[in-house]
This record gives sequence, C-alpha cells and structure tokens, in this order.
Amino acid sequence: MRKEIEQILSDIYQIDPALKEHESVLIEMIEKLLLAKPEVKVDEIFVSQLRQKLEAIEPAKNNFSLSFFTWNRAAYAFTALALIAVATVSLNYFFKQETEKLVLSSGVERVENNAFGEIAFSTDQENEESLGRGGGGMPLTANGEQSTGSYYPTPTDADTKAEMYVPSRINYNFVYNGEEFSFEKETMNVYRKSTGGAVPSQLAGLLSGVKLDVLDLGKLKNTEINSLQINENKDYGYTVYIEPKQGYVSISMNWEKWPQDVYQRQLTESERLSDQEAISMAKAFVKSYGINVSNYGEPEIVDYQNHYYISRDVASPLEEVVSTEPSLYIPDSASVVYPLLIDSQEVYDQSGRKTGINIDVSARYRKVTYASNITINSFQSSAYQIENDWEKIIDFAKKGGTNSYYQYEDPTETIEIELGDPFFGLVKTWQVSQDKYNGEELYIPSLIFPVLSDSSNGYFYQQSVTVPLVGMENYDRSYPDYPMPLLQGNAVEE
Amino acid sequence: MAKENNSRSEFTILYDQYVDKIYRFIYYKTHHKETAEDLTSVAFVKALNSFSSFDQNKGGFSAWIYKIARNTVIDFYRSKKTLINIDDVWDLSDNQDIEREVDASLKLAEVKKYLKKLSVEQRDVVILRVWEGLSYKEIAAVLGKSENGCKMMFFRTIKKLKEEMPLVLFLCFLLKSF
Repeated sequence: MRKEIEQILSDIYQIDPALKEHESVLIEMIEKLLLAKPEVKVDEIFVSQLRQKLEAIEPAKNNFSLSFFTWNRAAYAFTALALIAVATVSLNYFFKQETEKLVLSSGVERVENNAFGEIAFSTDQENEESLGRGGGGMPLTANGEQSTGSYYPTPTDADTKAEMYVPSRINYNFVYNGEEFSFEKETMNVYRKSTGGAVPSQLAGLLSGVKLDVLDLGKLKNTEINSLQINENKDYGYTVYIEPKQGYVSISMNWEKWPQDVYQRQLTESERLSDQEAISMAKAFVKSYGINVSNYGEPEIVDYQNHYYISRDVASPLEEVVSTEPSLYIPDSASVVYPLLIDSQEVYDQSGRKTGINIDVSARYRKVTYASNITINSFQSSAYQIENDWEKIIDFAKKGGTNSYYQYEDPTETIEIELGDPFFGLVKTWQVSQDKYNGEELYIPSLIFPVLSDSSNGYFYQQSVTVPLVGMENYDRSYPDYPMPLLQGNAVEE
Repeated sequence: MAKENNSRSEFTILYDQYVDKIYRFIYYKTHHKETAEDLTSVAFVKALNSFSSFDQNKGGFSAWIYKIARNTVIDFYRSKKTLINIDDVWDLSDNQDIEREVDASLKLAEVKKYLKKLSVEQRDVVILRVWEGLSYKEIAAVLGKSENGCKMMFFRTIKKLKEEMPLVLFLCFLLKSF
C-alpha cells in the first residue's frame, strides 16, 4: 500500500509542491481511502452465464464502410451530372440496402516530428461576431443617457438626419491570480485534419447503374462528387448535405416538409426546453440517423447561446429604443454539442468553447432542426516542442489569448476579467498550407483559462482565454481595426 | 487504424480479464448487486458489438471498457430519473425509490452532505485512481479529459474533501460508510 500512496502523493506534489507540508494528513487520508475500498465479490455463476450469453450473440457487423478517406481523386467536370444522378436515386434506394451505410472514417496517423512546418495561425474569424470585439456591444438608448458612447453630428442633407455613434472605448484587463502550471512534457502532439475524402467503389457502382433519359451515367469515367444534397420526402423530413472532399456532412430541415409559421409566436415559459429534454432529443436523433459519435464525448448544452439571446435586446447598438432590463426571451431552440475527442483530448475553439457535432433542438417542434459539423475524424499527429515559459504564457493570456482586443490609449472604461486555473485542451485553428496553398485545420495543444468574471453585464461573452503552446511566437496579434462609428438615421432632433 | 479482425477469442480473453473489475466499478456506482450485474451485462454486450471498431492504437482496452461501463451507468440513472441530473447512486437522496443495498448506504447523514457535493467525475476519479488503480492516462480516456486535467481534478477533490469536511468526520466516513 505504501508504494501506491507514494505514487498518488507524487502526482499530487507535481501539481502543488506546497502540499508536501501536509504530507502526514494526506497520507492518512489516502491510506484510509484505500482501506475503505469496499469488498465486492463477483458471483461466479453470473460471470459464467454472461460469458455464455456473449458467446451466443452475433456481434453487430461493421464489415462495410464507405470511407471518405479513400475517395477517388478525379476530375471536377462531372459533378453537376453526378448530383443529378444522386438526386434521382431515391433515399430509399440509397439506404435500404442494409449492408450499405455511410460511415465516417476515423483514426490518427502518427507522422514525424514538426511535420506540419511552422505553425503560424491567425485570428479565428468565425468567432468574431460573438466576441464583442473592438468595444462594440454597448447599450444604446434613444437619448444616449445610458451610454457612455459619444455622438458626433455629421453633415446632413434635407432628407437624412444622421449622426455618428462612436462606441464606448472599453479596454479589457485580464488578471490571473492563480498558481503556475507545471508541465510534464517538452513536446506535445499537434493534429492536422486529413482531407481529400474518399468514395467507396460501391457508391460509384450505384451511380454507374443510373441511366437518365438524357445521359447514361455509366458511361462516365473517373468521376468525382464534390457535393451531394439528399432530401427526405416526408413530413418533418430533412435535407442532408454532404461534401465528400472535405468529409463534411450537415443535416437541416427540409423546409418544404416543415410548417412555415415558425417564428410568428413568441414561446412561453412552459414551452422552454430543459437541458435534459434537449440532450435526450439530440441523442435520439443521433441514434435514429446512425450518426457516428464514437469519437465524441457525452453531449452537453451550449449555454452561451442563452446569454446571447437574453442580452441581445439591450446590447444592439442599432436599436433605437432599448430596454435597460433584459427582456424574458424563450429561445426557439437549444444547442447541444457532442464534443470532439482526438486521442481522448477535448477540442475547443479559440474562445474556449467545446467544439464538435452541433445539434439544434427546436423548442417549438420538440425536434432536431439542424445538425452540423459531422465530419471525418481522420488526423495526422506530429510532435512539436511546446512553450513552457510561464511568463510568456501568462503574458499572452493577459492580452486576451488568441482573441485580440483593441487597446485604447484613452479608454472610457476598463473592465477587469479574472481568469481561473488553466487546463489542457486542443484548440482548433486554421492556417494556410505553405506548400499547397490550401487551408488546413490544425488542433493545437493549448492552455485554456476559464473566465471567472460575471459576463452578465452584457459586455464580455467569451467564456475562456486560450493560449497555444505551439506557435505562440508566430501568432498574428494584429489588433482589430479601430471600431467604425455607426450611422444612426433620425436619431437626434434638430 | 481500427483493427478489423478483433476476434471473438480475443474478446473472450479480455472479458475474463476485465469482468471482475467492471462489475466492481459498476457496483461502486450502484450499490446494488442485481443492478450491477445487469449493467455489467449491458456494458459487455455493447463492447462486443463495437469490438470490431475498437482501435488499440487509440488507447487500451481498459480505458475503453471502463468508459463503456461508465456511460452505461449514466444512461441507466438518467433513464430512470429524467427530470433531474443523476449520474450514479451518489446523486440520489435517501427517500428516492431506487434499488440500493442497505449495507452499502451511507449511515452518516452528515457525511453524505459533503460527499454529494462532489461531481460524478470527481467521484469517478477517486474510485478509478485509488480503488481500481488506473493510470491517469487511462482515467483521462475514460472521462474524455486530459491526463493533466484528471490529475488536477483528483488533487482538487482531495483538497475539497479536506477543506470542507472536518477531519474526524472524514475519517469516520472512510471507515464506516461502505
């Protein structure tokens, strides 16, 4: 037992050496914990019966996989024709053959160290809209009293009364009061998503058997399909978009088959989706459509969206009349994410939100309306030297991490953002391949600092600050441009 | 890449090697013999059906089967009580109508107050690390977290128990609660 305790203590001390001072208490606690291990005896009859039961079961067959990853590279010229062909093939015909189902490939291929060249990603454009960058997002009232923003009258003509609204100049001051993070390794794996996709020969066979009035598809040679759209022709049916080259699938409502009066009535409190309901519906959908989630963690609610909805009424600078109190808004849908796992590590976006398969569940219909980012999970991994200079890491975090914030010389307000203890994660980013001039998706080992400060003031929505441990020195920290004033027509009495 | 021909005989060998451990792990989370047996069966049937896609290169069988077992328990409790978050027996209050061995229930109500403050993940880290002897790498694979994150979680759990629970009470809990 002594050896076990020593090992456990060793792990604890790596995290916090100061705990050595409490060694005697810790030893006592762990010793008792070990002694308290319940005596559990397994029933031998049960073990034997279960073995027999398992031997009698025919395992589920996984012998036919249409793998994107081995998609035949070929000409683009026949894409349109192929699309017509696939649209002609009914969904039933496509999927009814029991052994033929579309399965996303997965796996991690180890490659040599530093195989992806210099890591030099830039800012994450796709997240910008939710980050309140550049000091935007300040509540604007009709008379300007609630706002610390400034108005500058501009020349007007006879028909237009316009003024310039200059947003408040807010600086964010990131503060970390925690302890230093200890690193066990000098290198960590960077992952690159494999693209190129593949089409199985069986799918090509399906296409070649289709003969249109105007064309015999079987005559086409060396074809490639860049995208597919498949509609379910039934009530509450879905439209499936497939981009085989990128290995990307999304599923959305087939609008023709859903009621059209979607947004006419505000939902009531009783119609609000509970987290549990949303997750259950997402799970049922995943199961129903055979979406492969084996490389994903347990689904969870994306709660930042609620913040967005609630605060939108007070935050939009384009509204003429804005309430100072957040109005009760029942979101029409809840977002669920199945977090992607690569080598058992969770993946985050540059704002520190878990990323993976996104599923929107409608509160109005109590059904899934959208599932996106269903992708191939084939990656290459390459070991890189990590940055373990704590000073540099903290300095980077205090600048907002990978999301840059404009720093005003004369801010009207400075908001302190407190950061919590960091944890490891992979952060998804994007960079242009130096040799192929193509974009490529990279997953960078990073430290993620959770934001502890209350975000309910409507200014700052970012949940975490991310610091890449590889390529930090090459990070493009070009601050966003100075926020442009917004034109406010007829906002001021002459 | 996934091993395509994980054979039935390989699975049987692994079954013999892990059935005791998985049963124990599930028992720790259910405190009920029949329930633990049922869920152990479910976990191994799931594992058998997915065995052809099990990829040794992405982590050992140990982490894989523990993860299946853990999810099976979570699914079991969530299907029983859909209106509240329950991931294992520890989340239940005493008067909730669910099977539980009398001798495994906590006798010290005061202690339970502290134990219930732990998340299911914190409890699992303690169980897997201290009682099952899994490495942090394996625990990370089971919980879908980073290795360092699991170490940190274990440390924080111990620290939390130490800080929130009077030492005497804590020791009583350890000695008498199981």
